[in-house]
Amino acid sequence: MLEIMDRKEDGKIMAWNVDGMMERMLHDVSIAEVIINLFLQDIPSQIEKLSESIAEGNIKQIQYHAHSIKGSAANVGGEVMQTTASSIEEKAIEGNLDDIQRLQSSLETHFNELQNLLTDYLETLNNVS
Amino acid sequence: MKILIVEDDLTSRMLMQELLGKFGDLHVAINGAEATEAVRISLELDAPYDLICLDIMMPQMNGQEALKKIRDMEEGKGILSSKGAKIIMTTSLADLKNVTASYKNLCDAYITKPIHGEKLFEELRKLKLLS
Repeated sequence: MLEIMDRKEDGKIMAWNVDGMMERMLHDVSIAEVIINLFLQDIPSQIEKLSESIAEGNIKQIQYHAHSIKGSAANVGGEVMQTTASSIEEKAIEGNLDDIQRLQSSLETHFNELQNLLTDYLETLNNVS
Repeated sequence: MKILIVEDDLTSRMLMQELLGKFGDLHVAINGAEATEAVRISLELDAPYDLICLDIMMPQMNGQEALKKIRDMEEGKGILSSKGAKIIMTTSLADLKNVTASYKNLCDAYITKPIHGEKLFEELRKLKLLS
């Protein structure tokens, strides 16, 4: 956790790196719109599955779902969320369930932050078109 | 160009579809088992894939196992790997360390996730799939 906060303050990772996302998507707004919409619809169920795995203490499933969430967040440039999911994946590999439970609420907070940013962006697009 | 995208993560799969859809016939599989089945059918029909983008970390047969099976199937049909599908493995940087050399020899390229459109196209140009 401490490491995540430090890196955040250094400005090395961003809640939403829109420039990085757009560069990967060839600066194509229509691709960004499709992927962001998909991300916003898909992630809540992924987080739900992760929570179930944590409640069951199923380390292998925790690792799998955290890995998926990490990849999805990375696609849209959600760097803070990606880092938190990555930490959960690493803790799952170590078998450290206590740390995972602590990181779980951070992940939800980071998703909510990202969700707000992405929703605002989609609204901007709708207002332009 | 006939393309197979093998990816279990929905957003990554859709992003690849968005990036590659304009280049030809595009099929998707969500795990290694589906991927090898799609390749088996394509070989049976004499309509092999030109490009396969294969995720490494997937449930129900991971990308490395699928890669080996695909190359075995091609060999069974008398297709040399140099004449077979161009296979690009996709992986997070952390997982790339776990890929062994024997598997590295069976594929044509690696790209790390998150997928970067221009870097993907650059690999396709190197593999002479794009001009």
